This record gives sequence, C-alpha cells and structure tokens, in this order.
Amino acid sequence: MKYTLKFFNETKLLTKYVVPTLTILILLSSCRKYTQDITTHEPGTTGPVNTNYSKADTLQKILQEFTKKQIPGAAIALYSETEGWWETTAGFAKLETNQLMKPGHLQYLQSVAKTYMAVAILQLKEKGLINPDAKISEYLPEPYLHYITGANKISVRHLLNHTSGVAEYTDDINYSAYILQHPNERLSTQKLMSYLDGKKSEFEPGSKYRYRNSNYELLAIIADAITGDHAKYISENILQPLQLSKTFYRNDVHYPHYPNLVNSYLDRFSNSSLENVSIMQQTNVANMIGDDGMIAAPRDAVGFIKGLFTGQLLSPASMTEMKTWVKDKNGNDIYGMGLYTLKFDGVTAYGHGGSGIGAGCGLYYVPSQGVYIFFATNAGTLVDGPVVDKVMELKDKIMSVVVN
Amino acid sequence: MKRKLLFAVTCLLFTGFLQAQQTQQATFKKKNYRNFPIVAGIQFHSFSVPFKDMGAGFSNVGLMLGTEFSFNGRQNWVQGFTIGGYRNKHAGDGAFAFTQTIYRPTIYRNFFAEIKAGVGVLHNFHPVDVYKEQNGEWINAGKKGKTMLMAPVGLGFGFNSYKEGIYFSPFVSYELFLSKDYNDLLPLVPGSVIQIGTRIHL
Repeated sequence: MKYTLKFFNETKLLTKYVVPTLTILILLSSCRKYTQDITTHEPGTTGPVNTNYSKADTLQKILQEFTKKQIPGAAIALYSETEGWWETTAGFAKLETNQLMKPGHLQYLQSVAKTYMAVAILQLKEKGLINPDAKISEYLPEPYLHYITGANKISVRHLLNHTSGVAEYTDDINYSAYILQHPNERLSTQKLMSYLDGKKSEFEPGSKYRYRNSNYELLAIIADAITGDHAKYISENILQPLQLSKTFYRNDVHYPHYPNLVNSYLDRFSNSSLENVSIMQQTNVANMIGDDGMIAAPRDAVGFIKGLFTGQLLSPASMTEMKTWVKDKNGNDIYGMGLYTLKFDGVTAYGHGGSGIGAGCGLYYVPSQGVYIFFATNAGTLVDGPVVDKVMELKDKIMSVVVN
Repeated sequence: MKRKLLFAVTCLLFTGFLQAQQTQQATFKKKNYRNFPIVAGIQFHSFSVPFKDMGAGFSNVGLMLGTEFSFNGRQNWVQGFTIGGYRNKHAGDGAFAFTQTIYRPTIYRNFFAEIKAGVGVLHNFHPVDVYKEQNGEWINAGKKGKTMLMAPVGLGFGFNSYKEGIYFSPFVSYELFLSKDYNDLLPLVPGSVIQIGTRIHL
C-alpha cells in the first residue's frame, strides 16, 4: 500500500510536470518550418548566339539526356574563335516549382575562383607589390601567421601551385560537422583558418604537389594585406576591365543573394536522393575567399577565360609563369598557378573545375579548337556517389564533343 | 554483414538475460539493484565531435526510453536497451535503437559513474523533402533518409539510493553516436548527445 501510494505520487509528479514540459519542448521543436530553397526568378535574355553552331545539336542532346538521369539542371556557354558565342541549358533551376534552367541563371564557380585569385596575385607581381618567391611570413598577418606551421619556408609560389604542404582546412572533421550542424551560419575567414591551427605541414614545401583549398584562402588573406580588399581589387582589375557585369564576388551589398541564382541540390546520403540545400550552399560559398566564392552567369565565366588567354589580364611573362606546370605523383604535368592542364581524348585543355555542396562546374580553354567553354550543374559534386558519377560522365561527354 | 551483427547481438543479449536471471536469484540477499527499470529521459543532439559545439544540441530536443538488466545482480555491470529519437532541423531528425554494455562503479556513497559502449541502428531523416529522378521525372520522396549502423559510447554520472520499493535513480550522460556510411565522403560521422534522465525501479 505504501509503495502504491509512493508510486502514485511520483507518477503524479511525472505526469503533472515532466511529461507536459517534455511534450511542449518536442512540440515547439516540431513546429519549426524548415526550408532550404530560395526564390529563383526568370532571368533576362543574354547576348546573341550563333544558332548554327556546328556542335549545338549534339551538346543540347547530351544535356537533355543527363538532366533526365539524376542531374536536376545544367548549363553550357562557349565561345568559338571561328563560330562565335553559343549557349544552352536543360533541366531545372528549381525542382520544387519545375522552373526551367535558362542561360541567364547565375551559377556557382566554386574552385574556378582560384583562377581569378591567381590572376590577381600575378597582377600584383607585375605591379611590384608581391614577390612570388618571397616567404609568406613576409605578407601574412596575425593571427593567420600563427596558424601556419613553417610559414617562413613557404613561398607565395608554393601556395599558387599547391606545393606548400599546408594542411587542408576542409579535411578537419570539426569543420565538416560544424557545416552540417550550422548550414546557414556565416563563418569568418579567421574561423576557417583556425582549423589549420596546430596542424603539421604535410610535406617539405616545394617537394610535391597536393591540391589544397587552404593555399588559395591564404593567398586572398595576403592580397587583403597588400591591397586592403582583395575582392575590390578583383572587381576593379579583372571584372570591370572585361565588362563582366554578371560576375559577383563580394563586390556589392547583395552578395551572395541574387534573384537569378539557381537552387542547389545535394545527394546527402550518396543514394540519389536530392535535397535542396540552397541556403547552405549560398552561405558556404560566401564563407570562402580566394579558393571559392564566385557567382557568375555562364557567359561571364567564358568572358573571363577568354580575356585571360587573349592577353587582356596578364603580361606574356606572367602567362608563361601561370602555365609553368608542376607534376603529379605520376610525373605528369598537372597544375600551374590557378590553372590545370588536362587532356580530354588526348587533346590539351587549360582551366579549372569546381565542386561544391550543391553545385559543380568546369571552365576550360581548348587551344587546338580555339574554344572557351563553361559548363555547370546545380547538383552537388563534393559528396561522391551516383549523382557525382553522372556529372563526371556528363563533363567527359561535353568535353569529348568540344575537343573533337 | 548487418544480419550477422544483429544475430551476434541477439545471442549476446539472450545469454546475458539468462545469466542475469540466475545471478539475480543467487545474490538476492546482497543486491543493490533490480532488473528492468524504466529508463526515461530527455536528450539534446548535435552533429559534432566529442565535447565540441555542445551548445548546439540544446535546440535539438529528443526523448529516450529504455530498460536494462544486470549481469551480476548489482548495478555495476548492466546491459542497457534504448530507443528514442531527436529533432535536428539542420542535420535531419533521427530515430535510434541500440544496446550498450555499461560499467557503473560507485564512486562516492550513492553516486556512480558510467562508462558505456554498444551497437545499434540510427535512421537519419533528411531535414527537407528530397527529390528522386524516376524515368526522367522528378518525384518528391519526402524526408525519408538512411538507416546506418551506429556505435554509441558514453560517459555518465548519477545517483542510486537503493530501496525495496519504487524509487528513482537520476543520471546525466554524454554520448557519442558514431554512425557508419553516412555518405561516400564521410564514412564515419559523429553525433553528440547529452542525456538527462532517470531509472524508475518498480
């Protein structure tokens, strides 16, 4: 009887206070409406294209085929020295509303931003403001200098061609976990670089090539130290001279929120289920400097690489330096300064690819064909899986058509 | 692989259960523990490595319910079983079921510490609806996520003043949920859970 009464009292306590409190907490947390999609407006028209471009039908069919195979949307813009401008799209800029991808939609350039950053550094070299062979300890301010092990042995050139041995900030599990738990939180450059604090060099600077986003984040910090604002410098010395008015990199108050920006999709569990991660993607891109952060219309991206390879941005000496390749572990030429050298079907191309949580792209110049091409998708290419396999297949097919 | 693991876990638990029944009878006179209490609690989940970003969890509330039995009639070696779920609007909600072997030494008077490790499954939902391509059409597939094997390991602290009647034994614990095959980039991901609960010995 005593125990029954005690149990009754404790049960009463439980039902009177504990259960209602828990219920309220759970209900409150389940009431939250959570979305990641953004509004994507219909873009205006872009410039004139050559409707008779010789490879138009083939490329259009490839895009249509792949946007019916796990890729939500894709875009291509290209300039041929003999046939002029051409661009196309397929699939959706936003799946939830069946909004079609159009050539005027803005795309994420992801790591293609490294090419812009390298151009800015080489321009600063031409102006005598930076010495590529000087150690980064001469330029890097605190607290960043404190984060980098062996900064007095690493040169600016080592950063530019990924031979610095600096660790990768994105490889830190704390970083990945933080991004997943706080997808909409803007992170400062200092916070990102703090993931390098205490990390050992991966190898002796200059002894081998290893692609690291950290290298270009550090270059942007150095460019900030020299110019006061590297993004403003890029805007005034790269974007404006080439009249790239639809390229955005921290150069206006709206960044990174633009009405024509596509929605972004992630295959979170590598099982072909695409989750809208637009706000997360937008935030993540805006967090990064130097190694990422560019948003552009496809035609603007082509305008940049065309401007670069037609000598509008750098001197011939700097272009030679930019195309001085370091070798990969197999002894093959791989990377210059913000540029890859690649072969598609045995044909050489120069440029850069980009991977993100909710996007992927490539920007290449094929000298033998006189073609500058940009392609992009709003499917995330950072997390491997069947969707990324399709994107890689799409890239190979597009480039195969372009180089042959 | 999963089937073999489940079979092994089932065998282990069944053996433990029989042993617990026998030991309980043998040590009846000196026991400080009764099998199969109700274990209930509230928990806070965050997608983070151990002891980092712990504040994030307090906006991700969940519930847990379980029971346990002793291997030796005392509270210091027990096998626990827990089911539960949590809300996590950014990383996706989760539902789990696991079993843990728990070492629970008394550290001072009626206060005890806990070290626990085990195995289970976690179903991680997507935070928003997903789309799947089927025959060229995009279909809304809801928030269905992925079920993963997980290893819950934890540390805890609590109070147990044994009584013959019904009594409560409150505890707090910090658990690390290590989930396997989250995706092809992250083969192992951590989740941190702070639990506040009580064992209700009936």
